[in-house]
Amino acid sequence: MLKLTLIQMRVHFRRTLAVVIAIVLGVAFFSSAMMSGSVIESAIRNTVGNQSRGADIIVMSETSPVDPGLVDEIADVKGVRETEALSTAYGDAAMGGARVFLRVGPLSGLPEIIENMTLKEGRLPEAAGEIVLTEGAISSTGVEIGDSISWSPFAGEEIPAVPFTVVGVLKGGNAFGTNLTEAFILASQFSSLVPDPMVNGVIVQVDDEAMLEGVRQDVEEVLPENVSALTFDQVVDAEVARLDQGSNALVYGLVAFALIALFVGGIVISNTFSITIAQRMRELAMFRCVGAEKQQIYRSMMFESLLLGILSSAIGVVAGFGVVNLVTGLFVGSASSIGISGIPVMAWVFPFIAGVLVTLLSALAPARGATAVHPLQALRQSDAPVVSTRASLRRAGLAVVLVIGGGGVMLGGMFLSLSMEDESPFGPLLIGMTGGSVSFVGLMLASIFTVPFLIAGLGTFGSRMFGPTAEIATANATRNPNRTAATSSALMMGVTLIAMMTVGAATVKATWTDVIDDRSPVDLVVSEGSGGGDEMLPEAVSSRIATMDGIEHIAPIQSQVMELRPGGQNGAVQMNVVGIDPDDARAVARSVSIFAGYASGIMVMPEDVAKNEGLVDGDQVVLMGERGESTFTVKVVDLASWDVYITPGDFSSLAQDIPVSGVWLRLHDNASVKGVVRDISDAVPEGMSVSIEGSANDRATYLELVDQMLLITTALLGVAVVIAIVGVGNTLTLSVLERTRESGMLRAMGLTAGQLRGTLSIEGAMISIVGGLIGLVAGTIYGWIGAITLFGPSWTVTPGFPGMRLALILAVTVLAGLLASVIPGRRAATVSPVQALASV
Amino acid sequence: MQRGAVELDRGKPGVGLTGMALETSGVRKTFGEGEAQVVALDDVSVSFAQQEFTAIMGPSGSGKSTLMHCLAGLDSVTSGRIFIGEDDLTAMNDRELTLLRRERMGFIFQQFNLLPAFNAQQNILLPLKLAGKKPDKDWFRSLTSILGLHDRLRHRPSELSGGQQQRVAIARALISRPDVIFCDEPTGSLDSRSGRDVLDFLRRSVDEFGSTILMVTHDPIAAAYADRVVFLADGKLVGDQRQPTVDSIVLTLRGMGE
Repeated sequence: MLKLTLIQMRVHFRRTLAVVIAIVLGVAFFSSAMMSGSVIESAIRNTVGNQSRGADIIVMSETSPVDPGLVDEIADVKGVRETEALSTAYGDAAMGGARVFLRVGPLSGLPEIIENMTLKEGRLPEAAGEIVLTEGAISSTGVEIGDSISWSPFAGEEIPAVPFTVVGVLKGGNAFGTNLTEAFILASQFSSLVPDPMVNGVIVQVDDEAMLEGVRQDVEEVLPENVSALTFDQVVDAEVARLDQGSNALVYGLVAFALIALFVGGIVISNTFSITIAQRMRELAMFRCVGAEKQQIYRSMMFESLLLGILSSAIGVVAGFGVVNLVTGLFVGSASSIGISGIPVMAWVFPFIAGVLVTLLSALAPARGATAVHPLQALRQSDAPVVSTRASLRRAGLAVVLVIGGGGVMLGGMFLSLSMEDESPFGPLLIGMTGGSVSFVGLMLASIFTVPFLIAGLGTFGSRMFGPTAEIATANATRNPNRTAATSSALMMGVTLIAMMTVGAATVKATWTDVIDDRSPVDLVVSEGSGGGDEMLPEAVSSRIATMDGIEHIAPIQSQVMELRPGGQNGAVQMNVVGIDPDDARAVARSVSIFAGYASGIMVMPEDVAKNEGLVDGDQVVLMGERGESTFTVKVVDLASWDVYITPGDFSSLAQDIPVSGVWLRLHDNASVKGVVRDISDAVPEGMSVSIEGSANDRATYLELVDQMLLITTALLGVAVVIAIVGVGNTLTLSVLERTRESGMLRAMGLTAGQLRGTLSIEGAMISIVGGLIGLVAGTIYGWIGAITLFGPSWTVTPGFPGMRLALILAVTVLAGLLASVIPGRRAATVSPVQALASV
Repeated sequence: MQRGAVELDRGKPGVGLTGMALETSGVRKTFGEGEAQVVALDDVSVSFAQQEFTAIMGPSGSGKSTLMHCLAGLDSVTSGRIFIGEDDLTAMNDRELTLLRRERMGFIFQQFNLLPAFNAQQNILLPLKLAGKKPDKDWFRSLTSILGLHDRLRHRPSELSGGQQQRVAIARALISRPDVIFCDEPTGSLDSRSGRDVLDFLRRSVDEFGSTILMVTHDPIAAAYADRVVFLADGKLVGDQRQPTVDSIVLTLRGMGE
């Protein structure tokens, strides 16, 4: 049986290949996800090791730097041979044209530390002016051995930058911005540059290794509360744990995506197996004719899938290793820093087993189907069957129940979240996710009804446009609803997830933007920055700003501290009063409500100020300036500010000739915030300083962050989609083989080769359109509900609808479906009609 | 019954004779190279008149199916020429041949070869669909009623008997009023009664509608319906009978076997 199975696999290589690809992708993804965790740990191990591998005991604080005085105290403990402070200093470095932050420390005086430093290239510093850096520190700067850099430590006063020559590169890097030292210079130079450095810990060497534990405990006794005496491994673990929030979540997230990819892969594999078995009907029937028992056929099928699973999973795990090596650049800045030994056995074994299991499970049902072949089918001519859609009512019922039930639970979670005030949405989110998953399973079950229905609908439309090719394609796509639905729903899953993420991100962006707009409605506030009494923004500067690119509106403001008397009570307070014209204010502010109704006699007062002074909307207050006093009606607004606002007219009746002290700016929606800020700084004359603040920066940063995360998750989900597209290609390829006689007949009838290819392209496109559309709709709904559930307790959610992006997703899906049909189409068209008709 | 004279028609090489539906001139078809070479057709020159029912007979391996495939432009020849009317098939590319088949040829296969996902009416109208032509309603109605299909039009092939399926295939072959209709063992998969209905209809088609039919068969009874029988053996033309009867055909076949 083994030999026969192997021969089969070799002969039907293409068939085998399709399944192999699906498994390899899923397993590679899974293994790279698991391996990435250990890559990060390995990087940290190297980085920490540069300073302390070789130390007997390392004294470190959980949180902050350590009191330098501790070093001497520890030295006095019995059994301690030597101590050394782990000093470090933060500074500004100019490297390869870029300015970066760099943590520099002194080279240890202890030989056991020095010999454990992992040099990648070059050597350690031997004289002043030499520096060795970790590969992570130089990764993005392009600095090499022999280059000059300069470094200037932050030490209270400005110290001019000191030049250094790079003499070596160490392994390791600044993974996720930890507080680890990334560059070393000669100790003597360090102490002269940084007389009072930060001490992160203390290295303690003992007299006698055998007494290590005892000494460690003694040292612990002299340490304050949050400082401990640890071994090297414990320190590494602590550093890794500190990153836990970030990197563990990342690893879990990656694994979740990988499991999704594997699940989709499972569907594709199962579908492919069913098709190949349909293909091999006559072969299998022949075996049965000749005397093979049902059990033997079943075992042969399962054995074949086992072999496939093992082969593909092995390739997948190796591929994952390759991917991780490529990607470590992101974390550590070097592609070659991870060796095989650095990766735990779990990361190899787990994904491998998962891949084999998925393959076996997916083959179970199709293998059973194979045993149902009747020996007589070997003798008859059997064309591709048309399966009637008598799919059970039970299945329809189950699907409806799941969709409605799951949907209900999901909505329940959403409303629960909305009803909560300022608490963590974790509970409702979990409920929502469960409900959502259940409803999605229902959708997939329902696909056997929805997909053929939609394709038939599309087909009627398509036939009008594309004629007979579309009609034939539609008929082919709907003749076997099970198969078409399975292919389409694999795709649907990937698209749903991507759409969900995209819509979710858009909603997050819209919500955040609205929240920021409401509370900090001004993009940029430029004001004279010295803080001295003479607050004036020169006319020249404001007029230059007004003409800059990207500025949509500019509103000058005046500012002075005046006395505010809350009407009726005594306690007068000093208040910073800002004069701004109402029309200007309305044009500049991004929130409409804040300055609505603002006019002479009205004082716009932020919530926080009003609360402080015990004032409410509508109260009367009195402002006292140099020229006199006036009464104002208070308008309380939700504004993040400690100033109050009155009209310029009112302002000048209170204060004498106060010049323009600053401007509020509203930027064009697509203006580059960084660019504008830079232009403004350039426009300011030498010697004068301005402060530029405002929400534009915040907004830009948040939006960029969300987009980056979206990009990453989309790329990850893209793997699942790719697997699904491979599934579409499989289905088409294998159906082509089934329909050989039909294709021959059509060619004889007068269907051109191009038209034949067209039927396959249209079929591929239809499967993709339907899967994509359902996915988009489902994903959009899930995305909205998910975002509302996430933000319910804190903010009012503004639903986002990224129409362009969703259209792009659909377009890519359809294109991919068309692409998947190219090879099958070619194969169909190259078979001559004679060959096709003669195939017995 | 006299033994039919063996007449070999040798048409003029080059230009197609006027009035001939199909003509071949020195056609040779080989497969493979050197020692393994198979000669399927060996210098075949024959012409087929319009509005005639011609049967092509011979033992298996005689090349009769190959000849038909070449006549229909489904397969290429190694050397020689084939004309349908005035047009030289051997000079056409795949696309031109396809369009030719669409416009001017009809096919009836042993395996019916209907599209299982379409119903009878859709199957019949398929050639017109491919050509982008509108169906002639009257012609469609008379065809389907003569063939006894008018109450079966909405049925799928799986819901029709073998005889009914073949009749659908016949209607499909005739709907576009082609110049030539090629039949490859049309009664091979049918019981004798259905088979006779099919042959009756083919006969009627030639007599009443003026069709030109070429039928490959191994069945003498079927061949007896034809106006003329052409015999092939080992890729060569070995016999030609007019007004054949079952007996005369059987006699010739027996002679070929010796």
